[in-house]
Amino acid sequence: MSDDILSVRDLKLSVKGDAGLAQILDHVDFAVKPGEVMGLVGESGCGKSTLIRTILGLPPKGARIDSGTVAFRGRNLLDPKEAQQIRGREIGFIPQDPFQAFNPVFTVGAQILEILRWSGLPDDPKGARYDKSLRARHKARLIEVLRAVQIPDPEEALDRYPHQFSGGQRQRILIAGALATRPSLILADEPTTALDVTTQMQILRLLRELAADYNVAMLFVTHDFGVVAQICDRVSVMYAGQTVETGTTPQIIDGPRHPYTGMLMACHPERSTEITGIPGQVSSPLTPPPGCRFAPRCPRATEACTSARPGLLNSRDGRQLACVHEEEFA
Amino acid sequence: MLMLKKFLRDVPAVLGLLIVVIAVILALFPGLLVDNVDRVNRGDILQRLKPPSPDLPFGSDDLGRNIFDRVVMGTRSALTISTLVVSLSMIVGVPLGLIAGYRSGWVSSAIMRVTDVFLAVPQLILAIAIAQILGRGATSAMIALAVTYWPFFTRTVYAETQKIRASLFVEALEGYGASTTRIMLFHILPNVAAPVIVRATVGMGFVILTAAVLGFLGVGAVPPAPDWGLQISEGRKYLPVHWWYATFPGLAILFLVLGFNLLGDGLRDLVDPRLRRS
Amino acid sequence: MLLFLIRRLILIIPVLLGLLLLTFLMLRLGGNDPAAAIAGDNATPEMIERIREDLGLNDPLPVQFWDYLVRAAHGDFGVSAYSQRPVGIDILDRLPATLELTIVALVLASVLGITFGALAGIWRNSIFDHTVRVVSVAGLATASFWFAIMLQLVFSMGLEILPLRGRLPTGWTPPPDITGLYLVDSLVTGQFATFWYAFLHLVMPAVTISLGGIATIARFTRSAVVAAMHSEYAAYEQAVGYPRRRILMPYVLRNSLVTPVTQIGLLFGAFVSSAVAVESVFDWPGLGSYLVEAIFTSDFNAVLAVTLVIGAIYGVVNILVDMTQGLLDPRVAETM
Repeated sequence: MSDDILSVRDLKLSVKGDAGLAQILDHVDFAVKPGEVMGLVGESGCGKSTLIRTILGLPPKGARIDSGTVAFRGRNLLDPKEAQQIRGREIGFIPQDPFQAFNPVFTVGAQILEILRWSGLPDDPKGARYDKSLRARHKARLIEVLRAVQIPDPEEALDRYPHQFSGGQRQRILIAGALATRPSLILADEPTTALDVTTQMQILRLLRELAADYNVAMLFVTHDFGVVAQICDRVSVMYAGQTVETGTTPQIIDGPRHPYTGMLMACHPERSTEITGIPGQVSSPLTPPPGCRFAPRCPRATEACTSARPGLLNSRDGRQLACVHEEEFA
Repeated sequence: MLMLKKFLRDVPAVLGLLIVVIAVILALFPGLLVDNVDRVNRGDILQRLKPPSPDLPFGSDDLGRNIFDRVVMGTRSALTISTLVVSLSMIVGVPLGLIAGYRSGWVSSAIMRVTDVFLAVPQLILAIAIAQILGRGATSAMIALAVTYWPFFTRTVYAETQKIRASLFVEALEGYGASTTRIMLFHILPNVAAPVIVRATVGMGFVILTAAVLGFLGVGAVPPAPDWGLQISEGRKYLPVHWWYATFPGLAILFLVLGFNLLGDGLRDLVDPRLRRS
Repeated sequence: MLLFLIRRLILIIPVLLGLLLLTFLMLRLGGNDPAAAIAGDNATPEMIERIREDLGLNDPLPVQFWDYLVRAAHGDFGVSAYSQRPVGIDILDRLPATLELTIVALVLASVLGITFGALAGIWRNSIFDHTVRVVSVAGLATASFWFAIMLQLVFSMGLEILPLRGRLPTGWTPPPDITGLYLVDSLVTGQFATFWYAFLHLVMPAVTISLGGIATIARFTRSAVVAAMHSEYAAYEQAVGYPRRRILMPYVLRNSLVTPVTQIGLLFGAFVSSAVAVESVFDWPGLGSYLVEAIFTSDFNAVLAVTLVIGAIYGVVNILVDMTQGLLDPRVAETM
């Protein structure tokens, strides 16, 4: 497993808030291999955002790591100093909402160049001061990636303000910002959710191509299996802070084995003739049910489900599954 | 109930409410703290300009009157003026704002242009001018303040009404054929009530301050009324030796206005969470 | 931008006309006879009647108003009944003192308000934050004339470190009249002693006037900073590796300035208002005290002209504020 770019192992994290201790992440476990696009799927509120912030070394205020590790090429991302070195430089980030992510009163060029200023480029001269020539290098690099994300007239685009671009264009510029520092991993936080369907398609296609062209691995967070099907090589499913199933995209989409994965997929209108929902509600992280957190809503739940949390086990077909009924579905 | 609970958790706002409630009680029943309410304007010349002591907590003034008693009685005059001014301003300003915000065309622009003109002069100057024309006295000060304050209500209501008018539910009501008056009175008015209440609370503080300036400059209350502004202007002549004379009425203004401002802040937080202070 | 400026300047005119009409009607229908004011206490009814005729006070009101406008458009604002001098000259005499006071107060309020507000926002819920909040709420609740008197009590009468009243010590020669602003004029001509005295005389009046402004600006800056720090873009900036201090300065801060700058314009009215009372406490020979005298003496021409000047300054300040906003926020600039 040492060739993993990103590995999240057994991560348990709780956040102390006004209402008490919330157990946001409970044994999250997955890894991203070089060059692959890994999907991370879950409903809103399942802990995806906390997980992303933790991977970037920016856990939410009041967070406590109860157990587990988060490592980038073997380097500890739970160490704030180490994470500060890695984030932006070796892990690029694409935010969810291109309409909100830009500071409205600065030019897009200034904002993206700022990333390069603090992260630098791998081929920057060692120990160079940030001066005009370095800035010019960075600018040249930025124009190159802006061209790659198909922004027309990139030189001129640098001097424009965020509101002068459409949502799709803004997302392209943010993608350029993630790629510019030549990272080996890009973290994409639902990058198409805020866009309309046509733009969504274009952005997904672009991301797919760029991941291949630049040989960069991607952790693609989404709640949408349609998006997963289009872009991901593998996918890991989360429910209420627990990893429930991880496998290749065809494995998961064509044969979901965890009851939650199956039910979540059934909610997707393109994959189901009738719109169904999952009965019940996501349990509160303040008072999580013992054992499998999905058990209260699971049609197949038995006493065994609530007695202990099912471990994430390797299945015969290579996927990982956290369900006590695993054998029954094999 | 949830609102009440939220409000009670806001310590400064509760403090503000407490100050306001105490002030109102003192204004209604000054006898609680003042021995002889009818005699606050009469002094004992032998007791003139005595420093604060257990008998005279705030000292006495140049006519030997008990400053503490006069400060307490000043609460009544300050609250009367501010309540009347704010009510009058609301009676004029709110309907105008509703009409200007709901209607479009020349009626609306006429109202708003007039509002602009009133807002283009500093309120205090307008108030001094009007008070001077009407002749010195508490009543003319009150009218002057009301004439200067109504545009604030018009502005607030106008902005809110425009927002609501553009919303779907008003369109739906118009579709059902509800009358304009009905829509304005029963559907828009309740929705603008919250910002108006906040505005009114903050306005109470503003009016108390402005009324004090009028009293100080000699266009407000007439002696021997126990008006705070007037007391400060009289007490100023006896500085620095008899420092208590001008000091305590000013502190009273500070506390009462502080109360209304804290309360107003708290109410605004309840009404408009976007502006939360926390 | 130029077009915007011209359009806005033209838009001031109807407001000023409305303001003049309002003041005119108020003074006219208000009962105080300006002719009597001019004639003085010993005048006979015949004299007053002659003055009325001379001033055109017996003409119909619309004619009088029109006459006034025509004269005002030629720069003739009439003669002050009180000083017996042309009102225009009186105003030019008094305006610099008020301008100097309000400008210094405005600068003080902006610098302190933005600094305190920004730091309170950055160190949210710290002791510093709570202190700023309590002090600013109290500052807004303080009657400025009373605060001025208290400052005099402590610093002039008690500690004797600041002068009690006026712009300069009694008998001290003012600097040559270049701008009328003593600080500027004395500095330009190298009269440093005069500069120092002018500065000392300015401290208490300027602090008093800026008190409410500091509080208002601090409150708005603080909430803008808090909002900006919790914004999506601040989260993004952090996620892509900007250092924290860099996020604060300039990214969060620049964004947070837009709202307070708007407030500075709105504050100008409040400043002029408090200047009226504060000038009278400190015997500051400015427009505020001039206006109060004019109102008290029914000095018709003076009141009208001062109202016009204040209204015009108010309008110009608001245009300046809008332009500053355009500099700070490109989205606003685009609408100009």
